[in-house]
Amino acid sequence: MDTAIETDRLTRHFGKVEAVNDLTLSVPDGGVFALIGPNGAGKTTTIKLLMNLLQPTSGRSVLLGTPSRRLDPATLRRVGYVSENQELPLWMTVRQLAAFCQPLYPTWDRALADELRRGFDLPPDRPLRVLSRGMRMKAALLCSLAYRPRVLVLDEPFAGLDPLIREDLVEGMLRLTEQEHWTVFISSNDVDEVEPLADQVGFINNGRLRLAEPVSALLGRFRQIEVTLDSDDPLPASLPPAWLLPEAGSRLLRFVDSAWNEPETDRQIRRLFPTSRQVSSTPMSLKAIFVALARTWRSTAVSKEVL
Amino acid sequence: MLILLLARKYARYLRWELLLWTLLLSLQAVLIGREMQHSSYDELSSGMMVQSVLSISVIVMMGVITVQLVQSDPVVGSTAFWMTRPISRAGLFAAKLVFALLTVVGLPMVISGALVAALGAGGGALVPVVLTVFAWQLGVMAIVFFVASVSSGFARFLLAGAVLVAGFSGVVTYVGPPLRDLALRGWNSVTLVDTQSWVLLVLTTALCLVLALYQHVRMNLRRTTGLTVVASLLVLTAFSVWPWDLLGRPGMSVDRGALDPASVTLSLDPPAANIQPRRTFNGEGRQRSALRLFGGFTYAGLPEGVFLEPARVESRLRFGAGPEIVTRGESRMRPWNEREALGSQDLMLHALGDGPWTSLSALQGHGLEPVLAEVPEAAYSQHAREAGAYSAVVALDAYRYARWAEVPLRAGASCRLNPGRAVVRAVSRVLDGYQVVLREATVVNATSARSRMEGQYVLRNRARRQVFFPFAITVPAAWNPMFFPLGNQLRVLHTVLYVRLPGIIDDSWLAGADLVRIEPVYLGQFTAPLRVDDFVLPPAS
Repeated sequence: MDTAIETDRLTRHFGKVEAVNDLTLSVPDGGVFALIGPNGAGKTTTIKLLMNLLQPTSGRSVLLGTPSRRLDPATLRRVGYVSENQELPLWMTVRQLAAFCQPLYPTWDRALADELRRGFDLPPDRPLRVLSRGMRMKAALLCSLAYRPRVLVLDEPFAGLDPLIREDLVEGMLRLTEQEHWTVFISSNDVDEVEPLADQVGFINNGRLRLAEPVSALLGRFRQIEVTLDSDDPLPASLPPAWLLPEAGSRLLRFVDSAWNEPETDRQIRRLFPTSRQVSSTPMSLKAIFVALARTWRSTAVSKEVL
Repeated sequence: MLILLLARKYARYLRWELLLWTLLLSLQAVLIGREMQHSSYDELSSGMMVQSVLSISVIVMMGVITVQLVQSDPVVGSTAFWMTRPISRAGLFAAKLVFALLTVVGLPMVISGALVAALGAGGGALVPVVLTVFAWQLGVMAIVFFVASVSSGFARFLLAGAVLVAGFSGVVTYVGPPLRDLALRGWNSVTLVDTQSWVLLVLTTALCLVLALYQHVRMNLRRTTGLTVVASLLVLTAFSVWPWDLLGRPGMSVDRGALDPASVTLSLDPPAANIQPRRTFNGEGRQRSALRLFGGFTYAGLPEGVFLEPARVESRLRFGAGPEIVTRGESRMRPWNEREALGSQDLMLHALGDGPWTSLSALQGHGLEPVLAEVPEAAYSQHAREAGAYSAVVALDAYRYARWAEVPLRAGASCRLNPGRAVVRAVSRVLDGYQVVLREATVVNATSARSRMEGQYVLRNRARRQVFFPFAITVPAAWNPMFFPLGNQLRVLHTVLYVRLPGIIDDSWLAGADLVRIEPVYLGQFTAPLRVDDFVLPPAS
């Protein structure tokens, strides 16, 4: 499979602040990659480095085979970009904005643009400045979808939008990415909003990429485990490093297993807790996994390899 | 394609500003034109107010348009819409520049040209006017363009502009002079203040555009700022230490039919005339650093009617085995000799032709003299009474007076200027004689390196074969907007000629008289060597 986006030890410092540190990532062609992290984690900086809006302190990134530092109009014609921070020409109407963008893209599909405009319910002749934030985001998305880009980069596209508009956008994007086999790189701090979209997910925290893997694999290896014990035995001095956020009390042990494998997890539990009576494992949502990981990162220094 | 697309966008974005800009320019041109043709000295005050407001509005509008244009697609920050679109950075710069050239530079050129043409100026006056407007507008636009390129928003533009002005002043005041002393020890030079010229304008324009292009292409504000500081220091320092006006060099040609440079020899007259403490513009501490030797030249081998003005003197003075004292003096920006030349009544009588004529005036013209050498104080003390070797290469401007126009001595009569028109507004008797009031509307080239010499009116009585050179007082009769080059080039003058020769010039003399306008005609420039082997410095005055 070809690689749409690649970063190699990408690093960007702002003075003494390490916004992105040693980030190595590979996003295959096709599908949706969600970069998730709390505010200030380095998501926007990563995307800006990718789009050549910022220069890296060290390392490199490659977009559709072109190093980001040398992104040229030919490559940008195949890339769509929407960001909550992007400054649109607010004096333009939606129609004028589309008319301005159209000649820049030989692949601009006028019918698709009209369809998107109707689908997004965008008023064509009102200046962007009088439109709501959500409407502006839709207009930006229209101008990034109508030429059928091979890669769509979305930086917090749903931030601050009301649920209805968010739903519209998500549905629209899902439909298009399925139809067109696009690669979508989306950043968000809200796991819920990207969960329906994402095929792959990357967790970034304090500028470091903590993990990056397919959503299915992630959902498969994380489980919320509850162990009922016969007695109030104290916790052993050392638990397997893959067991996150262990809590014990009232003959109950709870933890998140980040490397769940039913027979192996059972065997480990029996070995460490011979008096255990019942073990239950519950699948976790992406959000629950993200919260568990974020808490773990906050409380301890868990190595990337462990996760 | 891209340029066209972006230009269309800018035209739509700035449509109201452009409309206002066009209206302001047109209104200003109409008012200037009206003033040139109809206004009188008494009507000045009302016109001045309107012109002041218009002039300020024009310059503000020019800044607003340029800043909005550049910052509509900003090249600082990382959030602009265009940055992630297939728009090449160089293409963006080119589009902005082309648009600015068409609107901020081109429109004033067209309007200026139309106005000057409507006022009757031929191609000879039209081309320099239009080129001057181009140079000025481009220069100002380039500076604003650059500052807008490295700032986001109008407030930051103003802040960056203030920093630039402060930096410029700081370099001129504090960095240039010490560097000049360091670099040109033993040389004598003029300061930046002396060398203001179009060369500085051209360099500044080029520098601003190159830096703006760099910022557009690299979008690295820190590096652009660094380059700006270094480049500004280099250019301004170069101007602080550079005694030459570069413009003089390419113009070294003279009308061979009128003058053969090889036949002209020059000598010092008197060999050493006047030596004074050097006047500098850089503060108290520098005023006694050198002495300036002023003097005049006499010329041999000049054809009849031709006269010369020293434009530049490059001299070398050596006493014994001591160091050579080199002086390079540029006179272009200091029109010291105009009055002297104008005072040469024989030349003007010759220009009248149809002679001989008897002059009833006793003209005594003596203007400022060129600087022959600058001598450091220490060298002067050491060699004051010693004979040295003085040599110089002098660039000389050659002129000839020509009878340009004749005008009857009555109110309402008019004559053609070069270009423009003069009208006699009144001829009246005053207490001890007569006065003739004239109104002259003309075109001058504000950035011309060669200062234009004024014409001279001569009162002529053909029947008596007598002429009189009236004393003239000229004041601007129309206010020239400071910031609009068109206004600086179109000039309305209010001239009063005083005729005071009781007992000789009376009503009957004037009844048979007319006015003749004599104008100097530039013949070109050439250089001539000068050598004095027994040169003695005069006592300091």
